[in-house]
Amino acid sequence: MHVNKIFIKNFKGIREEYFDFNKDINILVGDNESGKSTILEAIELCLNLRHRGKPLSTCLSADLFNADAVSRFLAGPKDQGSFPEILIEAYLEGNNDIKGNNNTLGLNCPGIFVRIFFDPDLASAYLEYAKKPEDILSLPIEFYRVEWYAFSWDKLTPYNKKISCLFVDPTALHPTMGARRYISDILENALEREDKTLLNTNYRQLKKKFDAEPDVVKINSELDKQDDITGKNLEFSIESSPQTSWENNLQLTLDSIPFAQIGKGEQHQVQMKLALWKKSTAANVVMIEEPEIHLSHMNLVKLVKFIEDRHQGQQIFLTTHSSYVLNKLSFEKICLLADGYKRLHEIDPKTVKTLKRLPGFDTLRVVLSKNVILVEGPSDELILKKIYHKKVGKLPEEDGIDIIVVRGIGFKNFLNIAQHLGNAVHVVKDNDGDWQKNIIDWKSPYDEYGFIKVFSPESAQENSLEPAFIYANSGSQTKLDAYAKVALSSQTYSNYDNGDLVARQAFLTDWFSGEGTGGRKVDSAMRIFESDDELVAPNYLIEALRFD
Amino acid sequence: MTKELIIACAGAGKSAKIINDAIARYREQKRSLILTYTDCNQRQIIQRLSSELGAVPPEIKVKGWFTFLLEDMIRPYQSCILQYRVSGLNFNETDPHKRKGYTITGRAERASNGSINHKHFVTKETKKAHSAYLSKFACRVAEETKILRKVGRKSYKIGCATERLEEIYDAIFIDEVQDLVGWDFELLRLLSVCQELDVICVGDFRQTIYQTANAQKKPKSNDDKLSYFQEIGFSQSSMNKSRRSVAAICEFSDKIHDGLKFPSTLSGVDEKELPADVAEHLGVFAVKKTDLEAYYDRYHPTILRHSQAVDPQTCSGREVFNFGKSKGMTFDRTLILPTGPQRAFLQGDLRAFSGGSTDKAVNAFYVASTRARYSVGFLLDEDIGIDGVTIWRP
Repeated sequence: MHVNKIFIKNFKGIREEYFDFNKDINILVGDNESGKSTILEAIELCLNLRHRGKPLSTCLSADLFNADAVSRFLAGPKDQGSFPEILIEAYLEGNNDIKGNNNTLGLNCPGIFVRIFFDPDLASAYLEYAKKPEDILSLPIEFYRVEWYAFSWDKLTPYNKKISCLFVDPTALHPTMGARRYISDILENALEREDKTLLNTNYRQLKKKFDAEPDVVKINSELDKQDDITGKNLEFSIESSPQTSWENNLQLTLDSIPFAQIGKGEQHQVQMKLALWKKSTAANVVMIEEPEIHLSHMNLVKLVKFIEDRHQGQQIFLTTHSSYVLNKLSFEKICLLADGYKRLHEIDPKTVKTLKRLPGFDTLRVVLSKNVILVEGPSDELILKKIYHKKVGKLPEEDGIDIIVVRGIGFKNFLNIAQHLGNAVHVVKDNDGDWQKNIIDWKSPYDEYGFIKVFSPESAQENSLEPAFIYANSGSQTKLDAYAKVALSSQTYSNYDNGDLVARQAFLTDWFSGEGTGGRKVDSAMRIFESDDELVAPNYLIEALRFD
Repeated sequence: MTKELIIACAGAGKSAKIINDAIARYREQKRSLILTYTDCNQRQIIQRLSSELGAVPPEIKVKGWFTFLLEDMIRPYQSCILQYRVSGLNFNETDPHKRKGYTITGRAERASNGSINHKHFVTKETKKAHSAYLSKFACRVAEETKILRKVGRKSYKIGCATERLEEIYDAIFIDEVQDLVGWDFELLRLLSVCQELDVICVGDFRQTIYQTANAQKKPKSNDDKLSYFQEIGFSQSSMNKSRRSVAAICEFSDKIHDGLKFPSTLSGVDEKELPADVAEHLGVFAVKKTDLEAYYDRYHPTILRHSQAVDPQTCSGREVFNFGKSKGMTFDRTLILPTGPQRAFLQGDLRAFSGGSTDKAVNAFYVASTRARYSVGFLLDEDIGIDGVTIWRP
């Protein structure tokens, strides 16, 4: 059983939108405040009739409503017809008991919807209340009603739930929040039904045993022996109201330490693993917010492995800011929230495989940045930053331009991702002595994507960054010397200072070419980055920094 | 896939058959839906299922016919006719579109422009569906949500709801199928073309007492219903062994629908096994009014009557049931207070019930006569003109 699609109307930041999902893993990615959590909350609300673990009835408030919709209501006539309504529909697959076509798309499929709307039964009370509409300054939530139905228009209750969903939310572990309730939710999901029943009956037995303990009996028999307090039988007994069922009184311990006392990272891991632990009774849908929170990299690696191994048969939703999580759990599972909703399920499978093997790359930055410059190595990054800073007075990232060093996995894997996104991507690449082959032909698979551009010098001499820089500063010997003074260490510079311009050029290109010159290149880029001297920047780099 | 009509005699154990069959399927992880016509029967089935299995498992659903129509056949796809949710049922004793025999205006199914008139199916204020038009409503929903299903060379519009049934159940049992009428049979026709679904209907057409308020549409009579089942391809079998009554009662009860060629009822009761004080009085008897007290003191029969108005003197202080209410019940011994036509029948007029417009009177007599295990008495002073009834002497 899984969620194929969800429709959200007027819930928190979302006005009205459909979201499609993968049946196995969905990795929600987006900037802060882009609505990742809202989607998870909407799913929880629709499938469980709970908001952040609490029954909706106890936390129904105007905050759940879309702020625009509320202000429009407050600015309007405030009549019955203008009340904003929250509607969340979950289009499901896997249980035809709840199949029907009572949904906004008229689709014949299983599903559930929750509707929070003005209760027409309270219309006359509202008329009384709203005699002076101008006095109504906030959404009058008291006049709302909640409806929870299947697409077959069967009424749903928390007791006949058709699909179970578990929201693992590390922020809910705050000691002041009902952490107990939250733990018990997780236990609920992690235990077999038989085990739960056994725990419950044993717990009740324990209460009975307590009452029958000779000491307790003795104390009770002494209590109010003379009937001074009451004529009835006064006794101590363990509370046995339904509110104090076993879930609330049992606690989880790790090596005898209560769960709430162990480290945050461990708490978080245990919760997530419990949620994915048992197949038969486990929740159909597990939602995890930012699994990377509180975890060291090594623990994150272990956790992601656990998720990878255990999720079969369950649908996972998670939000993350970690490229590692993203790459490792399969990049194609991304659900991107930025300028509208996008899934990347059509990404080249080879790229997905490469990223799974090499999850350390910062792919999330390609996805989230509006303007990306892909470069080969750290020298390119330093030089570009320097050029930009000199021109604008700040670093490119401060203007939303993200320079990413592609390193081992190469440009292609990044471009295979970028082609699905539509963000401006500038590639700064060496021509390696053959502009036609290494730039023009190389780029041709991406020609149809106008937002992907490649920048490189055309001349075969300028086969990489350093020669390009040397030729850009070869206008006169003074200029070249100025460059050499910055780019070379003082020791090397002492060997440089002889011959004519051509000889000096040759010395420089020689110095930076060949095997094992990587260190020199980075050192030189670092010196250029730190220097205030006027150097001429190669034109293709200036172009690469220009975004429309 | 099975499409079967089982015609049972009274006391044959219809419900037990359905329950056993459903449990057997449950053990093979097949899902069943058991439909009944009366609440009483529904409760009994649930009770028997839970005593067999501890509780009714989710794989076996027991629903009343109207609930089934509403939850499975209408609501999931009602949006083709109504945008708002049908909130519940409005039980009709009589045709809700008629008042004092006259048709209320504005209740026709379609408006002059051809669109469906909501008021034909639901009440205006509360949006409850009229029970009398519920199966017609379900048929319309099926028609509007066309799904074509080919059977041989013919294709049928089965509707989304029927397809959904096929997806969520492996078998549907309909108990008391004799009580279905008119539009209900149109739905049976839709079910009959579902290859993936077993449909097992069990009924005793001699026990039809309830009549749907809206009885315009055919089939109405037992004959018509039986031939309808044949037409839609249901195989027919019978359960003609009464596990309840002794042979003399079975033989007597067969005489009541003499013309209709039901198979003869056999008794499954072994009289030799009965204790002597029970075996001493077996069969069908006529009891004179003057002997009533003696008879009652000796056998303590349960009294069955047409309605509350009949002979309050005899009934007072004694266990008594109306004929209709006694349906499905079993007693050791009964004493029937016969109606006019019943008296005539006992005096030898085999056509005594043919005057009525429905089969109700004759069926009620059949129900009353088949409740007892050991003895049926008729409180009657007249002479007996029919075989198998002995005049009781103290």
